Amino acid sequence: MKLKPILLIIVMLALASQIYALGIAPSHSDVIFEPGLEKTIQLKVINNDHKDFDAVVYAEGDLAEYITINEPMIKLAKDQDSRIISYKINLPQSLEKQGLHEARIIVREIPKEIKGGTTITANLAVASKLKVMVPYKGKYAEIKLFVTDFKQDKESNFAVEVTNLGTEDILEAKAVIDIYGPLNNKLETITSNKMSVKSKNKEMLIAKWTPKLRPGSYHAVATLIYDELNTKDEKSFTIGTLELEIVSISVTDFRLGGIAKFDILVENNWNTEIPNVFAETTVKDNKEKIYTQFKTASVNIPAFGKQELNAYWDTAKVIPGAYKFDIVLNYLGQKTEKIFDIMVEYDKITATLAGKAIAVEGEERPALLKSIYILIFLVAVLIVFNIAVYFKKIKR
Amino acid sequence: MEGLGKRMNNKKVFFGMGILILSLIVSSHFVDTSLSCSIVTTCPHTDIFHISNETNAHAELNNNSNYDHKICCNDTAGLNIGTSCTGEYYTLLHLSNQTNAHVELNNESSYNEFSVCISSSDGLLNCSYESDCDNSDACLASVSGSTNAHVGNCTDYTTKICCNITAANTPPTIIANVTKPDNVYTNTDWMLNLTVTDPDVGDTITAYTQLYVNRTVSGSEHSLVVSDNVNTNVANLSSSGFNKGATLIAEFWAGDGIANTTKYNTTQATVQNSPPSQVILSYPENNDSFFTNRTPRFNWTAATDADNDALTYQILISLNPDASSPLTNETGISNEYYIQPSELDFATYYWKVRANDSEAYGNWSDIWNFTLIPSVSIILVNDSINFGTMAQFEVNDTTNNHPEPFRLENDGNTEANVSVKSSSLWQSSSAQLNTSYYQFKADNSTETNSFSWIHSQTTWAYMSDVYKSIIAILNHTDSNDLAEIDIRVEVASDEPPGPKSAVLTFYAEES
Repeated sequence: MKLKPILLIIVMLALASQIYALGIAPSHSDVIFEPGLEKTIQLKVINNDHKDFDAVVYAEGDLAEYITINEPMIKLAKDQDSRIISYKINLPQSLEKQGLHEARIIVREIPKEIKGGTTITANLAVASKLKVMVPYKGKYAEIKLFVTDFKQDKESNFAVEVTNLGTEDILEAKAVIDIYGPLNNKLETITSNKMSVKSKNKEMLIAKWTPKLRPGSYHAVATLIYDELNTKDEKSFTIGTLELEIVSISVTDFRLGGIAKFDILVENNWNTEIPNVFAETTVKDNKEKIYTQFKTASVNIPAFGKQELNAYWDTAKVIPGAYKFDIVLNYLGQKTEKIFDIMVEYDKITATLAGKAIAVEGEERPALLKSIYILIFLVAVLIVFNIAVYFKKIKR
Repeated sequence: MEGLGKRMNNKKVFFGMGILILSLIVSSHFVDTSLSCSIVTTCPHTDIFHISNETNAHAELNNNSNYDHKICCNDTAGLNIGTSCTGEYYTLLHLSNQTNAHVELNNESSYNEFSVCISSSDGLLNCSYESDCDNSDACLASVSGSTNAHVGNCTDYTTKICCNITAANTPPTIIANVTKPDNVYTNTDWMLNLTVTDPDVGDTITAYTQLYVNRTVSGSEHSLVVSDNVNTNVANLSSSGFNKGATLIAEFWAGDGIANTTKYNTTQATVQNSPPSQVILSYPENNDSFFTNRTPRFNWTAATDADNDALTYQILISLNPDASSPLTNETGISNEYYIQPSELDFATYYWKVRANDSEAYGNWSDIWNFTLIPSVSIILVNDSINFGTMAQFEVNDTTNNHPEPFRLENDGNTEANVSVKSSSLWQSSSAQLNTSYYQFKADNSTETNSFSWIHSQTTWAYMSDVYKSIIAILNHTDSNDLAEIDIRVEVASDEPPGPKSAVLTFYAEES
């Protein structure tokens, strides 16, 4: 019975502030104008939050008069991820202005119940744009550059989609793609194949490219040259994968019982500086018992440069033996992890990774240990002395 | 067969037990034909010897011409019949003289000078003295005794000279051997077909096979009775008996029960690598024209490989319907999926996948396509703000999170602009919309840099009943797609008491 008030509170809290979501796709539809064009366009109303709700659908904008919404009122149930709706366009014989004409098909949630107090309740509306392009007189093209995730020394393609939005055919179109580095320095230029493009049609130009450039972020600017005219589009892209590398770790001037300083050398194989790089280190034994955890200071690692991170471990209560040294590099929301096997001895720590051993030896054994050795020796001498005395007494 | 001819030498072989055994052996190894003998006056066939009369007669050799009764023989199957007493022959009788002679059986030795023989160059004769000839034998004559005897027709005396002839055996010949298939894989049985001929009518032809895998005997010897001159599958090696790279050889021969051919080997076949099966695509679904994930995980079902090789996959993602000039050409994928690392642009994509077993690729999958479309989708983290009961002149806002501001998240796949409008909150005529009594502004959330600060309304602005822009370019990437909307309300001095409420609408469209 005690559960009832708790459940009530939970329900009230849930009702007090609810998540609402509304989406629409596509968020725009492109149409090239043709006199008297009739077309049905479908839209997907997205119910991300899986709620029951009602919505109104209507058109706005200078083309609204040519749009008929098939279902001005829609209902979505909580078990519906989405719902397909549609509208019809019935374009006039002419539109005076060349270029882009727009309308918006708006799906607006019908407001919910208003609560008491001084309350402001929100609801959502989303729009899908209808973009009707009236072709320009003469020759006019627009392009869209497609890039990919390039890899060094591996051939791939840029693609340039050419849309002829002029009233005349384009006799020959080719794309010239300039590749820029992070300092906006032009590094390479590549050229696509050539094609003709009929009025109101689309064609795809391809420019093959085998990057010889080092991994990093680059920028491509595509210029479409068509019948002595040109237009541009640009995109950023990458070659390779951004990943910092832990090159090595080393420990200098180590004495068991003291503070071990781990020098972690990190290399940036990317063509831009990686800011705020830090490492989280953990020392464990083979039974996963954690001895220490440490977060290094943050550093910026320059493009294609190396930087050292320092981690520390107080070995006062540490006994010699094998441990694991786990390094997690943090940078740009990414993590890179490497685990080293380390062997702790009295005067050195040896780290092993991928068959390589890195060892730094200390100059002397620690003073504390020396004292222990002397004490053990003295105790042994005393024991022998006492035994000798004991036997002498027995003889007497 | 050479030994058999030698045993026929009349000087070493006697009628009786030895000949009977020999006859049995011969009869089992050779094909009987039809020897026909009769006593005639004119012999159109082989004149064996002559007798003076049909009964109680003397005899003469066939090169004499004193007697008109001639023992005349032929083989109806066309085998050669002769009277030579050398080579392959039987001695039928000894004669006391060339003509007008008494006779004795061939195991007698009183008349050693003149012998009556029957021979064949291409058949094997089998003759014996019987009291009655078998149906398969031809009776040549009969004799009155073992020596110093008279001779007559077959009904004259009780000791009859009976002969038959059989054709000599010819071993079978293997005229064709074919292994199938031409290219052997681990999922296909290996078969041997033989075509064997044997000119000997009635012979039972048996094909024998011994299979070898990697030059080691595989299974036991196969034997199969085959028809003459008919291509026959004589042995199969199950694919379970070999692996990729194995060498296969079949040793084969044939026999007719009497003699075997020599043993032959087929050409060695090497079991080839089986390419992986065709990949079946599963996601994104084909022809999906409402696809909104810009970093999709391309899924397919695992291909199979008859050799159980480890498989990797190659994926092509292209803007062309034939998947040519791909934007993505990824090889060596060890999973049955590929996660698009960077965001795809809005377009129709065509994709296909094939498997590789490190030696060969399987067939490409079908080409599937999906159309990636932009979507605007807004999540309203909290849908209401309650300032509670407010007194005249009281001012409150959400900047200190008491109460919490509205929080908007862009759950779409493209940047969005957000506008806001509201119904009137206050009843006071001095505190209607477009006044300082009800204001809004955008602010950073915990996810900073989620929108364009300079293009957004980040200072207090009057709320209106027409849409006013509040957030420009709200990012859609998960780590930076959240913005706060602060609300400020002020109660006018003339606001009547009672609950106050307004309905606010956030309107989003793509940037």
